[in-house]
Amino acid sequence: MRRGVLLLWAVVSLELILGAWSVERRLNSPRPPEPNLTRLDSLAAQEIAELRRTANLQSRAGWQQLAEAYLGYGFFPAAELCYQQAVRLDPQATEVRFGQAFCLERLGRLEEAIALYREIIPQAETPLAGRCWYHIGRCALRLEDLSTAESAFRAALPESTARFQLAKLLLRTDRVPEAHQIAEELGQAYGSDLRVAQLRAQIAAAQGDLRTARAHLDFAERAKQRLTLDDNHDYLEPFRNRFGLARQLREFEQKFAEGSREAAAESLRQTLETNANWANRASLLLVVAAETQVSLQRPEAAIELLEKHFERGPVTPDSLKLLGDAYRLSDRPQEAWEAWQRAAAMQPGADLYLRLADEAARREETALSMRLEGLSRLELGIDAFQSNEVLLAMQEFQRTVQLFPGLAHAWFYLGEMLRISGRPAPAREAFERCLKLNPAHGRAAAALARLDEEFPDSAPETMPRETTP
Amino acid sequence: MFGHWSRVRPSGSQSARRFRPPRSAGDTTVRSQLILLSIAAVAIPLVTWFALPLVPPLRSLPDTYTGGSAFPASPLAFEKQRVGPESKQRSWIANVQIVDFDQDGLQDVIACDARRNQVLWYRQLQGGGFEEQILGKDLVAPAHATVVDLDSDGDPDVIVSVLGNILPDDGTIGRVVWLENLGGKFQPRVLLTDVRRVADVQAADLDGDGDLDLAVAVFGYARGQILWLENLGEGRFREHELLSAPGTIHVPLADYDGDGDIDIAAIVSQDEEELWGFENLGGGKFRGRRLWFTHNYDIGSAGLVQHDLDGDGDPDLILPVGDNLEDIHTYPQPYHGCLWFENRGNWEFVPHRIAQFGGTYAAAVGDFDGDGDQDVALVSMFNDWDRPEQASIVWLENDGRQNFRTWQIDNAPTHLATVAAGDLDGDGRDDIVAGGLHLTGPFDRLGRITAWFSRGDASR
Repeated sequence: MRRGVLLLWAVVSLELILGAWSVERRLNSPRPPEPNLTRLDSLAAQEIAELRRTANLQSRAGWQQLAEAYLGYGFFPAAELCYQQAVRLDPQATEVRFGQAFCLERLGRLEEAIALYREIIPQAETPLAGRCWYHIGRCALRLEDLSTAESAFRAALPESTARFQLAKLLLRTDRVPEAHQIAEELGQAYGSDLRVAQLRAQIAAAQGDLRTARAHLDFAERAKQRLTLDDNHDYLEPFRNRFGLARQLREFEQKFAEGSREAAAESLRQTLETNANWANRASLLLVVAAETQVSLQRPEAAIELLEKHFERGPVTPDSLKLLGDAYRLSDRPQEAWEAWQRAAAMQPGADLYLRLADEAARREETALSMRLEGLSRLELGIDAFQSNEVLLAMQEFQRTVQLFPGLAHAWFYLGEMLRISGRPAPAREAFERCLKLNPAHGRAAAALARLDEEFPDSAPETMPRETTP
Repeated sequence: MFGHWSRVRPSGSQSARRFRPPRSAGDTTVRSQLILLSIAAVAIPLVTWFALPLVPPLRSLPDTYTGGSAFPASPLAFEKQRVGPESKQRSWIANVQIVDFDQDGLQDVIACDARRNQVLWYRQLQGGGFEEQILGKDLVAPAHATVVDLDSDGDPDVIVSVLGNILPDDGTIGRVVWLENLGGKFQPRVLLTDVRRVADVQAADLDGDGDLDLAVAVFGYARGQILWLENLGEGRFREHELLSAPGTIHVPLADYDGDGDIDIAAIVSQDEEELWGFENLGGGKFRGRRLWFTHNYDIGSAGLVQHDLDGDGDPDLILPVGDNLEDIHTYPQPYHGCLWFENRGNWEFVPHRIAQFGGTYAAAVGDFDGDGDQDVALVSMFNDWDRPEQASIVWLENDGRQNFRTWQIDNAPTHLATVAAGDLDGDGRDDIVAGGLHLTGPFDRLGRITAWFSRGDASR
């Protein structure tokens, strides 16, 4: 027993020494910066404050976690100080140093950022090294240091965004042939990208080839944006999503996607209660919550949420459309009609016109219903055109002019579809129909002039009648 | 301490089994010690583990960096006054202008409220104060209102640039809406639709036929345009494209080349950051030329104001730079501030930096100190707002030779997106009106529409 007591004394003494040492180390640790968290949603603020309180300030991981939390919410000065500490504890951790360089870049301390990115490169794996070069190039552009920018983008190759930046830089420094070569290579890989189409148009214009430039700009109207030149969002979003409202919203989306709509609605209700007064997001959350209630066939709950939204947020076409849906579900057709009409007057949309057309049909107002369906088809066609679904767009515009032959704008879009499809003669006729209905239609007049220039042989008399729209 | 126990304890394991020492007070003490030490051995690490985070670290890190801007207090006194009602919501004022809308000799304020989706007239009352009147409603995120007698019937109409969404959006959701003045009632008429977000419309006779045409900045987002709309009469306009490029903010009109007709200037942002001039060749023809550009894609062009800043008889251009709105989190940058493009004639515009000011979002020109030269007011949307001392509104004092000194007027409200200058109180010195666009935090210094009246030398 005595030996046991002796042993325990030894253990306790050791523990006390270790404890005292830990307390001493903690007392002598740098105090983490304390940014103004009140601008965050209350839950995120609480969680980040707790992280700050409990962070292991003797470890790189502790400082890194804190740095990432601050970075995710845009507290760049505080994040940079935390990264400094993490780097001090583990100078070899390249991802930590990248975080610090990123903070410096966002703070506008561009020379320091470039120097740090350069230090990381020899120790980094290829993808991170390429990313560092790309960031050096972007920083150098902000400093208007063109030679550094160019060499950095060349070092970041074959990264497609770096190739894009390099081509743009070459174009802007009057080295058009090399820019053209790179842009064409990019066109092979990213032919459907909006930015690539715009760049190719600029290069063609610089070469004096206006017809090609116009063709690329034509395509740009229907292209999607695929190249992401700025990785800020992709880098910061995961940090942000660890906390508060952002995390809860992701959980809500996940539950909703998994089909647990009741559970999703409940979690959103709780989120709204916790964050009722938070920023501008609260009114948007109310709309999301109302949408969920409509999907659960609970119109009265949706109406209540939307009324709260209108008290604090803007009356938008989307929220009015939702209000109309809720009214319709609760069998208040006149109020639904008024809400949809107001929304359509603010901002037309295919689904709004379709709702109005259905309602008009229910009221047996056939002519009005057809007109509204025509407008809906026109909007659907425009959406399809902008998504580069040319065939679908053509069908919608053809149906629109059948339903509503007096709609000049539908004739214009039909003409555009025909022109894009390489059918200049019927395109010409469609443009002419448009101009007959609306002589002030500038785009149709311009398109007709362009047809004259590009397809001088497509005069109306040579047009086969069967292709007439 | 352990003497008693050592004395009574026999040696050998068998005797130990047979002999049980009587329980004395000493035994109890040892047993108690054993229990206490066992508890301590468990408790100390646990307490250390849980309590350690409560121990405050005492060593200070260096002060956090700030890239924002603060300036010496203005030697010119400004008296602050709210215009219109206090907002219950976080206001999104996209544009303010000072204009005598009812032509009663008192300057009024016209504002675009993107949260209420309204264009508002704040009519100045005799003896001070402002009365609110709605000119247009259900205009989704109005960005700019241009007061002009579009139909030449003798009363002022309003042309509204409708974004369709205050936040980045590449959809064809923009509009140009004419609020036609029908004896004091304003009838909305859509002049242009199926375009991306419209940020600005300006009116002038661009084709020399005697009526007012329009220049339109279709900001869009990833795609956009600069258009001019030819007035065909009876409220009909035909659109013509001048440039296809995203991010055009403003299209100020003036006779930039001094040839007697009205030309168009435009600032294009969104990655390209270019200043354009469209020379009016007559008959509705224009020659576009890029007047300036920067490789700094992040400079954040935020607007364009035409004014003869140096008083040499030709219109110059003033460019506030500091828009960060496309960033997930904004932060003031060292290149934010204001550039003056001096018109040297023959479409040569020479840039001069006249201010460094984090997050600058708008500029207005006026003679605030009444010394006869033109000063500049700047507002910031994205200064480092976590630092309460940093400026939200400044004025640049012109020494008469276009050397400017920056003076801080105020640090609240924050997030000012629009500014206008004009003599609101008729005292001969220009005053300032600005609007708050509180999209991002912090939300501790809110304001909707605020006026700063110039009151002369602060030392007096």
